[in-house]
Amino acid sequence: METLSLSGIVPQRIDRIEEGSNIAEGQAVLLSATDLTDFDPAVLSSAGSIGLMVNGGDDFGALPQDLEQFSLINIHFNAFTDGRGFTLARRIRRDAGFKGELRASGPLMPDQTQYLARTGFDSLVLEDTCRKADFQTSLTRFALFYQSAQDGSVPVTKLRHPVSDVRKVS
Amino acid sequence: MAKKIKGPQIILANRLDDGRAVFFTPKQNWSYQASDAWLAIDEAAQQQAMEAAMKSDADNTVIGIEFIGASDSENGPVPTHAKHIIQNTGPTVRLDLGYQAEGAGA
Amino acid sequence: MYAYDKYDHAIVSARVAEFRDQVERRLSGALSEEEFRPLRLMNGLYLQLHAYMLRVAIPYGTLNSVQMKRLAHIARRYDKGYAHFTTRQNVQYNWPKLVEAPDILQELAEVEMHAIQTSGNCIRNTTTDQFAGATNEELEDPRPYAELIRQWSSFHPEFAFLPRKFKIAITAADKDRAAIRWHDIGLVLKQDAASNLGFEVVVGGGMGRTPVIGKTIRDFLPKDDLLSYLEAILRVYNAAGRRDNKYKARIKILVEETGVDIFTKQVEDEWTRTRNDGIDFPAEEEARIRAHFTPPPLEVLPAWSDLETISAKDPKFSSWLRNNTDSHKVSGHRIVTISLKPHGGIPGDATADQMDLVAELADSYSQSEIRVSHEQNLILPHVAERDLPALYKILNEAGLGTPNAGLLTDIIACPGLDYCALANARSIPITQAITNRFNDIQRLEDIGELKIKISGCINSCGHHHAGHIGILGVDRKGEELFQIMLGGSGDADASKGILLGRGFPADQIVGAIETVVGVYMDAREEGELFLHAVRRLGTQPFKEALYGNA
Ligand code: SF4
Repeated sequence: METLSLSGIVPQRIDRIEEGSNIAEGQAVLLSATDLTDFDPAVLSSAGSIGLMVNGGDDFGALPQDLEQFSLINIHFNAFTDGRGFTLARRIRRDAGFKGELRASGPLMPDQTQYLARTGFDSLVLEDTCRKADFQTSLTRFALFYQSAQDGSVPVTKLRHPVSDVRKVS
Repeated sequence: MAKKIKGPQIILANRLDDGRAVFFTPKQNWSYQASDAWLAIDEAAQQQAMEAAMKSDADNTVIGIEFIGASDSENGPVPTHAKHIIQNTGPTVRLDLGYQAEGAGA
Repeated sequence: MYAYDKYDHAIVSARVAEFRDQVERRLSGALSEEEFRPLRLMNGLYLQLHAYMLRVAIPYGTLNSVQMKRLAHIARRYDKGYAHFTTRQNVQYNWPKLVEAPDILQELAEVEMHAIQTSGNCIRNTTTDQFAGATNEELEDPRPYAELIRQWSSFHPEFAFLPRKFKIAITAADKDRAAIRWHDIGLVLKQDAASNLGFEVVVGGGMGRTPVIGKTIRDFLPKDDLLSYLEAILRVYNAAGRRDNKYKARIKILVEETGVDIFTKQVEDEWTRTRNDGIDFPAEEEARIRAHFTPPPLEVLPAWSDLETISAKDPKFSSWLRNNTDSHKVSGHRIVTISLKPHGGIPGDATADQMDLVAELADSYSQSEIRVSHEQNLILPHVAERDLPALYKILNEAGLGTPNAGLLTDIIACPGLDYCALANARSIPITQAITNRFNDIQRLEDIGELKIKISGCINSCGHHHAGHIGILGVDRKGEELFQIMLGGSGDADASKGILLGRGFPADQIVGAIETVVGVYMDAREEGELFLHAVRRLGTQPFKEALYGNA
């Protein structure tokens, strides 16, 4: 499997670790919230960095506090039609202000990469690498957008009214 | 697949490029007419027919392959259900417009 | 009306290129049908019984004559010479080929049209009052807001894979011609005590298996906050809407299961964040869009005195004038409804020649503007009274002069089992049987306003729940049966129809409608409309007449 960069960052190398397995000294590990509580804190503290594995359907309010402790958050999509991960990403970025790498995984389609990038994802785990080119093409499919989004692109309203004092921007 | 149907069956699909309803024939190709269809009476025959039909699915020429109920007539198989009868004839309110109205050419 | 600028053009063209690429990948096998299906649906392309079906958006029901001519051209070049206008201010082609769909989208893009998000689990074409900008009954033209919503919702990255489809409707008039209470979100333009404009926000309406009339979650939302508030509703819905059962995935179920008070709190809470997110368009943008909707330069004319004389001499014209024209905000003008419901015809269908003719008539008589109503008719919104006789004559000769707008034969019907892959029964032949029976205009006018709406299955594209008489096709062991319900309404006083009893076979449905109408005619009070009589009488007398006392 390969991890595709969506935002231009270099994707971290990180290993998915299940409860009961060992963590090597300095290893970057990806753990679910339950794994996180089940692991011996002493073992955990030996990890180089910790990433959090969540499901697109997980309740944002129930995520661990202080997301900044994680070097990476991986949102897993159960199906390409299950769009909850897009909203979760937006909330993790906007509401929690998470700055680390936000990664998507699951059976996503090539045609979704730009949506992922625009809701705040940095990277995508490619389940089938033979369509890598298609995934990349769709990443730049649209050059102009009606909405402001998490990728920092300038919406057309701003292009139409460069000097407008946009009513509300946080 | 949808609910299991009983009795004699034929295989229906839509052509990928234009969506036209087509029926799987004993010659292992697809016809516009249900009357050409492969009427599979028992389970063994049905399995055999479906396996053959699936091969043409692999060519990426049809979509939505499914069994539908049918009965035999002197002119060949006829679909049982209203929906499939209409698929075989074209819209009942505009019989002039169905592909069927263009003649039976392949 | 709105005209694309270079940005709109670039975005819509990028979409055409994307879809062309997707079709190529589908044909080459790089995309599976399972993957391709939601992609083609988001471009309005369905697979029906006999062929693909392409649904093209007519944003908020407004189009110009050039666009109408292009729609006619597409019908000729890529289809079978006709098109079908739907209950959602869209137009459908019944016979396009997959391989040609990208070319059709290209032809549409050239005249600033598209099929973006006309299907699929995303935010659909926003609908509004077909008389917007012409009626004297509205606070303000609602279409600029609909255009704002179109832009905000097009390719919204977060809301392209919602639990289910999502429909928004807006009205700015008291008489709700857009059935907003039957939508996922309905917006009513209002004024507060200080004359500020804003919206009443109604959420969770919808038809289908579980008909629900929307509930007001906010009495007054300042108009400048519209998009951030919509974003908040959509975010709550996308995160929490059910995905385990497609029949429970609409927002109406989420609102019911969460409870409207808690749901409202969640939205308001989300809005505390979204309203500071730079989502609402700047005032300059709203002004830019609104400038496109400046009312046409109509000459203020005195009421045309010959109209009555002509009408007194020609009873057919007189009926048409009464039923198919409405008052305009500029004196000396009328809004003309062109009925796509000829008796014995297919509701909403128009031939390419008829579409071309309507385009020409719009050029001659209506400032090149045309509207599409959710009742599947076409509208010429700005016609001078003195042009009405000539216009009527031409329409009538082209089979477009049926004077039945708002009457019993102005039936809404979905395509049903003649075309639709989901159908249980045929809606069109039932409609034809009814309109062939009730084809006497005098009788129809005597019966008065009576809306019949017919769906071929529980998905309710024919809005049967909102029909004064609703008819629903069901499949009972292979036989097509039709259930009758009474008392539904899509107006401001929206209500759900009540099922009368077991269904009737196709050949008995006309008789059953006769019976229902007969009960009303016998029992109505002076000037009482059918809907009001049903509300007063209840369904009992109708049931007894149909099924006896047993
Ligand atoms: S109501 Fe049912 S039959 Fe009619 S168009 Fe909709 S899905 Fe098809």
